[in-house]
Amino acid sequence: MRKSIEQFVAGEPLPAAKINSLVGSSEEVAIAAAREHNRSGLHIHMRFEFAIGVFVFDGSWALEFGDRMSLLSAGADWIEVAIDLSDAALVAPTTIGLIATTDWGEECVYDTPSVSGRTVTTKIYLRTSRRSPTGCMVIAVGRRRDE
Amino acid sequence: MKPLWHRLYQSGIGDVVPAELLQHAVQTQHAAVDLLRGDHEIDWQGFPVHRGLRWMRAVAKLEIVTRSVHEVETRVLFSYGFAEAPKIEVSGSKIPWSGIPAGVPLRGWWLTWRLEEIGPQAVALGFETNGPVFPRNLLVFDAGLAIPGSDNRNKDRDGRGIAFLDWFDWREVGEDLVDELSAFMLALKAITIAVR
Repeated sequence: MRKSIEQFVAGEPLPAAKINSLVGSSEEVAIAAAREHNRSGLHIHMRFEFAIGVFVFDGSWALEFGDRMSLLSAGADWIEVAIDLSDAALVAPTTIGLIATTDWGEECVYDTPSVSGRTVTTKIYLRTSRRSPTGCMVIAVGRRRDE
Repeated sequence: MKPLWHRLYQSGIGDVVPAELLQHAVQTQHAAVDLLRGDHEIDWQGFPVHRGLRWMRAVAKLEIVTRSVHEVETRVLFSYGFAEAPKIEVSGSKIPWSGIPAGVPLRGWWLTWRLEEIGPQAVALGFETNGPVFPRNLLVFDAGLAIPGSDNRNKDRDGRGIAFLDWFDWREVGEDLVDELSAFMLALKAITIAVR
């Protein structure tokens, strides 16, 4: 996907090669755009990820950045989070999954999420046996209703 | 994301095409390239793909229904982007897809999958468990690599991936070692997988 380098100036000859070069570079853009977008410009891939939270430990656990995710409570090696479903409900209580890792890149595990109305809560356990984490990133993915 | 400006011209047969028209076409092409680069990054083929974690090539969640040292039955709760949905395989003598002898350290549960879109994979896994029990040595492999560390792809295996979830515990029975499910295997309830 390259930018066209042609220049069209009034009064100068117009060889077919310059037109063809412009058509070719425009086609590259069209091919590139079509890989991940449909004809109306919408993304082809469905977006399953819908909530994210970055938690940091500085004496106590706190939410550093979050989108539809908040911290309810925390202990030394666990955090309890709430996930907001107010814009779209889950297809079923089981169609939500979390992916969580510490700032050491080690995987976390979590309890089965509890769905109550438009809020999901769960407890995430941080691995502390190897080294104490000072950060945790949590991503929620799921199948939600088309509302 | 900035807007993509373009202008429509009207003309008749035999009219002179103004250079300005063609130059605007060039500028529109430049704007389209900038637009695509704005929230995309260029992948290994030179094509723009969405930047960041929010757009995934494949996502699935599978629940473990029954478990043993011989077979694991799973149920797919949702799956997208997989030509073959993820499943758990028990490695007896060989690592799935590779043909490599598993040996004692790698005898256990493997998660295997096949993507609809081939190409290099970045994989993240999430584990729903019954309490704070962790996998002891999680390993994830892009099975599409011709050989480990190479940029070359094996066209027969491209799109396939495998992850070693955990190894079996062992118990001595007479002179034999008998496989047993590990604490993580017993606690594991569901797996979420996301592939970029």
